[in-house]
Amino acid sequence: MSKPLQIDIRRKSFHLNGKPRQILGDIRIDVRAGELVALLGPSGCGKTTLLRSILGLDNDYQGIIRLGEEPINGPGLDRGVVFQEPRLIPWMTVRKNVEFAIPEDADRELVSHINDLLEITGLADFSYAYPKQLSGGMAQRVALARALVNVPDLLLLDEPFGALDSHTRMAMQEELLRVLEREGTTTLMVTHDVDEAVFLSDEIVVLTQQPARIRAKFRVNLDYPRDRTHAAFTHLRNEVLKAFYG
Amino acid sequence: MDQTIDQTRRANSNSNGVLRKTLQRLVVPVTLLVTWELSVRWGLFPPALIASPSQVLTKFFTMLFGLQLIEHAAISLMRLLSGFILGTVLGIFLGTVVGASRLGARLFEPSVLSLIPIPPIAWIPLLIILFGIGDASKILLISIGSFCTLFIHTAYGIRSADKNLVEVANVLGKSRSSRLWHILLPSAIPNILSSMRVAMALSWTLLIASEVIASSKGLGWLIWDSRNFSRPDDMIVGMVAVGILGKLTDTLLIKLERYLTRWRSTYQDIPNV
Repeated sequence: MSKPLQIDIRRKSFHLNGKPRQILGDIRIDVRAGELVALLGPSGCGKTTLLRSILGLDNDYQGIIRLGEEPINGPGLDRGVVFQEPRLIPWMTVRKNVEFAIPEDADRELVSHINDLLEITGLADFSYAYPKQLSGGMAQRVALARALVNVPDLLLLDEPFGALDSHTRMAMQEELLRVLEREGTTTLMVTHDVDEAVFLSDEIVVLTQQPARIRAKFRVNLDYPRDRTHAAFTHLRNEVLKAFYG
Repeated sequence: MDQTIDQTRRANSNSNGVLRKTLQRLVVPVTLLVTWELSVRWGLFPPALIASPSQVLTKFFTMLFGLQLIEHAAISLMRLLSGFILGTVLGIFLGTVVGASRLGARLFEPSVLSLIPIPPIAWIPLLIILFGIGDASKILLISIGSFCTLFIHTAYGIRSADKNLVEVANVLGKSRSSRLWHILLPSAIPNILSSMRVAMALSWTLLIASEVIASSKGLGWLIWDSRNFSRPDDMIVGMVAVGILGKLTDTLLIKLERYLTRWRSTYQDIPNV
């Protein structure tokens, strides 16, 4: 089931044209089991680098990341990810794309989980469509179903709705909440959209410009479904905006 | 009501368009055939050297129903397909090894790349010395051409697979073989199929060349032998047969390509451009 995520990074550097360049500074974030934390930061601040470390694609940093009790050392199916682009495999149908995430020796139960996920993401009728036949929003829903099919302990979202138009984006945010309520997955979401962060998350972490450090944290104590026009909502959004740009 | 009228009008203008387009397509071939026919009839060419289209057509059906044409074509197709399939399978296999594995590339790529610049035709004398003038040397010549073409394009197709998709496979913890079957090879399919068409055209060239040089059967031999014995109608029948079969093999490969790359979204999918 869902596990808490503990990020405790001291420092991470790259070599760019032979010169060391610090990407990440002190970053400590705790995501409680089943909660959604949004990481807000200016573009190019190192959010994606942080996500790659949590995915286990980049293990060259000082510090430790734990999912539950276990430190993360490499990629694993206990984490599902949705990138900014859907990254669907073009020669596989919608169903095959979701199925591809399941390991060959997995339980039969996961196969029925495919049906559930296609159903709740509204993709059941498109099971046999190819990615080229899908709209941007639908393609991203397939990516979400693929990320959740193995019932991961942690869901990572890297600006998943950043490439969608604002109307589709809002519809997808509501859809995400519905899916997460059902699956109960701990989620860490990278975004640069303050409105989205306030609408979705239990906690907002604002990062500084590179090297990324934590600038501010906000607890979002608003009931779901949230009303974007409500005074408490707009008040918090303004606070976050101030921290973000201030 | 208005809509129905509109639709009828559009349908009418469409069928007119089809007729007009068909006529436009026929202008050049019909002019060429008529010019050819007339210039032979009026004695512009010596009839011992050139046959007219009508003579060729008559001879074509005589040889077809007399089964000589079928016999030559069957032997040629056997050589062509054996060589093509052998070369293609080996080319895809070794191209995959070289494209997907660094060790494979170090082992095989330098040797293969140093053989590729040798034009296949230059292999003919060596192949005849090694394998005689029978079918084996012809099949091997054709397979060399197909192998080189498929090797280059398969390796290239695999290397140019989308890095983002490979990363997806890595995040999902896929094995090397799963990554190869589900990501790398399918990525290379468009390249593989289009290079198979190039290889098929090259195979026809090499087939005719090898049959002209050493043979006593086959379409290439028919063309060459008819020339030697001043039978211009037989000679052109041979050329026409090669043309028809060449078109047929190309069409089959196009159909295969369309089917295997139906997931792609390309310029071709835009209607009426």
